[in-house]
Amino acid sequence: MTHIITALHAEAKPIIRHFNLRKLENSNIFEAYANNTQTITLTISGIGKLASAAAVIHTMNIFQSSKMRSWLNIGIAGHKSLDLGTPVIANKIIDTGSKQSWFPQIVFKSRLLNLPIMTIDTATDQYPDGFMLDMESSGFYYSACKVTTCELVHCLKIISDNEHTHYQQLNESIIQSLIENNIEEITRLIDSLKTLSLEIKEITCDENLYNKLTSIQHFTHSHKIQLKKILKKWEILFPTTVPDMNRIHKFKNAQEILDYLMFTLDKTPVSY
Amino acid sequence: MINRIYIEKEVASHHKTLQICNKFSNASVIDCDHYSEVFNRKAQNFRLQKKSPGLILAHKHKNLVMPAPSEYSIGGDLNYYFSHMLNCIYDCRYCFLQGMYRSANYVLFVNYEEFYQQIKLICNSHADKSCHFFSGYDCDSLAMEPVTGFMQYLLPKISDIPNLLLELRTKSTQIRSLLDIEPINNCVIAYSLLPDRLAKALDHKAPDISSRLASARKLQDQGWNIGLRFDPLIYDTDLEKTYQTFFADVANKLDIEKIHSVSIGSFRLPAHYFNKLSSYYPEDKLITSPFEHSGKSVSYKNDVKKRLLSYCYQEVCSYYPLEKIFPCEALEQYI
Ligand code: SF4
Repeated sequence: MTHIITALHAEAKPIIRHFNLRKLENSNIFEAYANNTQTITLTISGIGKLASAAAVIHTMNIFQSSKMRSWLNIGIAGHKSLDLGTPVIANKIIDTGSKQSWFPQIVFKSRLLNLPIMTIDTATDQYPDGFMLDMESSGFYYSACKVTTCELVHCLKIISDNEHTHYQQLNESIIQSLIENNIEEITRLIDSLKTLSLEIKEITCDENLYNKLTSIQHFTHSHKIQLKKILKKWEILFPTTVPDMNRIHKFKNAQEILDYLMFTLDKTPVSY
Repeated sequence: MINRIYIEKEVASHHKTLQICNKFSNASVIDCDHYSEVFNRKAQNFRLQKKSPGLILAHKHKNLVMPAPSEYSIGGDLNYYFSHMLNCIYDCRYCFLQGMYRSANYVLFVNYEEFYQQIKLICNSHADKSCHFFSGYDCDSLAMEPVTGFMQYLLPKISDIPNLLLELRTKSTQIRSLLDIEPINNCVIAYSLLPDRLAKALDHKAPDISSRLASARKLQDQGWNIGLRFDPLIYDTDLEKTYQTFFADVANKLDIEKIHSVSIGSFRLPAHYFNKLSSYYPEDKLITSPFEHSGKSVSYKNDVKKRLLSYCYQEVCSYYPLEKIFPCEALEQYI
């Protein structure tokens, strides 16, 4: 699942259209959208780093986000000399207010240009050398890294203004087309992050077997955690065999079941 | 290979920095105040970063050379280790680095001169003692040599320090910089080895065993001291047959009379490193092995450890003289 945060409606519209996102009824603080399968969501934060940080937390709450999900801040940014419409991914984020820096880790293949970005508190037409300028990245990044691992958190910016064309000349339709023209790059980035997130493994096990075993005896919370780990090992060592259920039914408590499973696993040498 | 280079402002104009940036001219260059800003951050995933690690160029200010844990000893009076680099281009499943560090980015400390000064100072101030230095604790000593040139810098400088011995721990076949110079007597190239089948399953991205042995032999033939590091030994079905063939193969391919030292130890990790490892790779076979927590570490259950260590120790003893064999853990109770 990918959570997208944009600051403006105009930035959101082409994305909502492209991915067929529907507005959520129950989201009243920030406008939030999702596709049918909830694999892509979009929240409109409004302008500024605090708004963006808050939108991340809001999104996490309404979609019960897990560690395996990726987060994207998509929006416009200024740059001294880059052509308007250039898509750029941030490789360093500097918050000009707090002077803090973050370093997004681009560990997937990408042909996108990557550059540092400064998050400022008020819009300006003084463009520093070598940096993009925006008003959200630092708040977004700080907040999203509280929710997931930083390799899955990125800021994709489309250059909207530069030394020759200042931000005052922007309007809704220009912003929409800047995003629209980069929808392929956005899709590609979402796909890369999705592939990457699959590398994060959660301890899963055969749910049927787990339910069967936990219905035989009372398992405490810590027993249940142990059981999940043991069943995972069982799956790896004995992919086609289930534990001896006749024996298991004879055990008096959960600990005896765990001991039996562990004993069976331990006496089976791993074959590489 | 490297798509991003982080550079501490302090080393931005260091000659090594410039040289390395030249080598990776397509990489993005990103400045930082201190390497820890990138490297030690919370919310990083070692496994994901391993897909494409960046390179951080930094200056090491303190603790350049540290006392080594006692199980590192190969007979020196004083033992030290140093790391000109953190992290490794290989991805061995049992590697403790993935438990120790949050980031898989490589850190290279470019102030080589200070590592050398520190080593020399220690040797000078303990002139009556043998001082052993271990490289390859936080990285593979040779794998990145074509990029770093660290050993090329250090080896000629330490060759005439009489009370020094330097161990380069490696799985690498990057030996050109060694073959290009006269062998240095007070240096041991210590190859980490496992039975081929296990290395294929666990030593991801590292050279296979026959290539490691071929490199070791080349170096040996040129006059370099070669050490053998059977650590960590990994438990496997058919362990006796697997390890018997393995030790015989190693002995066949090298001149065993000339082996400098052999060390031996079974898989063990601090418990919190092991927990991280199992969260990164819950589906890996290594995690399913019969381990137990004892104190703050995780190792094989006693009976398994006994079987593994006693067999391997006996085998090793049949090829090498006792005085060349150094256990990496207390073996008495297992052999
Ligand atoms: S070669 Fe050594 S340092 Fe490198 S990954 Fe393997 S165990 Fe770790």
